[in-house]
Amino acid sequence: MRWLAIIALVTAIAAGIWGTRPAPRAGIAPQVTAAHAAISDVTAGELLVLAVDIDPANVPELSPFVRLTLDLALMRGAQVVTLSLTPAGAMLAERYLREALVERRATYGRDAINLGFIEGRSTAVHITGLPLQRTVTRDHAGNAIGDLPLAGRIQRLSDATVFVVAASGTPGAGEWLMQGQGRFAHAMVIATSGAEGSELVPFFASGQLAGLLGGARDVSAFADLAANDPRLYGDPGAVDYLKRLAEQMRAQRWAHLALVVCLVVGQGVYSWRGRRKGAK
Amino acid sequence: MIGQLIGLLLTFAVLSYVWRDNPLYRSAESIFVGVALGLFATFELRQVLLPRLWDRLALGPATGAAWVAVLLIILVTALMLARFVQPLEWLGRIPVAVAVGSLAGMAAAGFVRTVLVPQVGASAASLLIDDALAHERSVCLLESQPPNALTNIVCSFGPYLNQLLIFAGVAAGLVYFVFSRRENKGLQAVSRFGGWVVMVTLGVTLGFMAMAHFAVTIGRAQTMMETPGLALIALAIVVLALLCLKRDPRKGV
Amino acid sequence: MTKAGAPIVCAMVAATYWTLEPVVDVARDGWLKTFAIDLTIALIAVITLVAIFGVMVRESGKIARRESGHLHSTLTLVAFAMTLAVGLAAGPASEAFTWIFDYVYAPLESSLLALVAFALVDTALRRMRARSAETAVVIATAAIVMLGRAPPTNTAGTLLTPVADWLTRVPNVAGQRVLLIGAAIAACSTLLRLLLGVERDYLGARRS
Repeated sequence: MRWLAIIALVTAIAAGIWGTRPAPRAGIAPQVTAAHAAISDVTAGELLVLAVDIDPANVPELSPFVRLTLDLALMRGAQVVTLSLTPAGAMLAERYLREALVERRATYGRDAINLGFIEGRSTAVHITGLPLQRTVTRDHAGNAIGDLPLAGRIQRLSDATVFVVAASGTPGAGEWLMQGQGRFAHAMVIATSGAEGSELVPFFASGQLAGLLGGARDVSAFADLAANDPRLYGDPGAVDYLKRLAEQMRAQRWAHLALVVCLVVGQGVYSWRGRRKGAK
Repeated sequence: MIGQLIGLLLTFAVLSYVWRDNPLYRSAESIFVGVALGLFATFELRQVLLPRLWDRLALGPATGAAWVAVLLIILVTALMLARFVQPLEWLGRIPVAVAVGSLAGMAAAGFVRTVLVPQVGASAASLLIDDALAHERSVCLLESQPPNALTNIVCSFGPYLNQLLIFAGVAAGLVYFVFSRRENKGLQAVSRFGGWVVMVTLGVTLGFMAMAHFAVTIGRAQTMMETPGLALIALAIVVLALLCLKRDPRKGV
Repeated sequence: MTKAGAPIVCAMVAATYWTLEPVVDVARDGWLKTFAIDLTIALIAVITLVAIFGVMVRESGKIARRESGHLHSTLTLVAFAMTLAVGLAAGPASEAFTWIFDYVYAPLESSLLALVAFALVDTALRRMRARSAETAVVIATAAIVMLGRAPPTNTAGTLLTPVADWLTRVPNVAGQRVLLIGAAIAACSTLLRLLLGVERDYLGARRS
């Protein structure tokens, strides 16, 4: 029985990745539309802070969102600061930021900086409310903050127009929400893995979050919206992300179907054995 | 290419656990623990302690306050190391106590500001404040084009019924958790309804979690498909290694 | 102040500061806030390093005593030493450290989490049973949400996606609010116990 389950899953994933028929549309949730609107509304010169607290395991789910957010912000001439509550997040933020700067022809230090890993979990969020020059001395690469032109133009990170959090696990969305939301005037958008997605819906419903993405389906919908932006339309990077997300959603539907079939078969076997025992 | 091959070898070594627990999987797990701890130690030393203690003096204004702050930090963290000296072991509890107290205070303040007040308020206010309901009605009508009599009825009353259900669900759910002894029939009925609401919530969470876990596995599969030749070589190496490993009946490997 | 009392008083002072911080101006900004943040961050960093050091000492002990699994402990120590050496010498932004992160840490972490999907499907087939009405509701809701968020066909999408979205936006919001309010009450209760000196688990096994 165990091998049946494993074969079902492997077949489902392979069928999804190798398949060519597009997955049926699952609609765009209002929290995704709101997230896209909040990020797209950032204009030239405004500050967008992106907290990258994802693990390598959640890269397939969340990295397209991180890259597209960076692309949208840099294309509009916004100032971007990335930071992380986890070491892995800092490494990933550095990679995505450097890639986005090359593709959008922006300059590190002038248009964007990566503050890197900030230890302290909940305490680290409080740093965003204090003067930047007083609380952070070096960026992820080890450059002195005073040597970076963008850092000189920022008083506090909490002055950001929009605060975007891409997080999975702990520390992550919970810390930014509990300590940052409501204290500072900026709008907050959270993108998280599916495991936490359902837990944060009440915060969007109450108006505390300007947007919310919970899992691959929402990220796929966000990518569809972002790819329709006139400046990103036909962009090779965006097209590549759309292709990978399309593969992901195709494989997801077959994997979910396999799981539901396993649930039904398992329940059927259990009921049949129960009846046989009763008959005996 | 070597890096990609190593990554794929490690991937298949871990996935070999699906077949059975084996030394290759345990080795990969051990390497992961070592690398993860090394990653954390590197960041704590180079990105946290060094900038905070040294840079603040070297790069920032070298004022008296900066010196006091730095020296106090060094003192308190040195107390942490006092726990390894038997007569001074009690001093080592002070830094832990400060950390626990700080995080508990922050957590409680955060929960009150972000959860208790806004969430309880939203549950009640959504029934009374018309703006949010009006927005939901307009979204509902937009999504149900072309409109007809049924959609008009659904969109007029639907948002209000949803908010009423949320309010009732929150109240009943709290009764379900708070009242362990439900002597009166009314309380029992409310508690049962709250229990159903919590069960549906758990079901939704399980559904979301399934997508998250599948996304990780699908991502790994996509990585393998990027370099299929290397993936096949890595798979062949791992399979050969597993076949060559001696089976020890005592250890089950 | 006794040896037992000092940590308790320190915990009370720290908890009081962070509880009042949102409402007291002098605590919210200025040198006191910067000092409190620096202190908490440095403490967490040192506590983490001491914990890592403790793990390495334990693994070294296993190797020295040639206990079962000492070869795996050797692998752990070697991996730790190499990562730390590269990280301290070249820095986290260097090519060498990034290589270790991209080709060793990331594949291992992703693959370990990828195993959960296999466990999930296996559990669904062999262990998840609707033995009562409550578990039937949990399983049925999960199935509707899964098929609604990633529908296998257009028809399933038309039928199940609105239901899945409604379940997420209405009963799920109600249930999550209940859980959040419960967690908030628990956090406040822990704080109160700390402030009154009743909570002493963080002091370890010896409590006086």
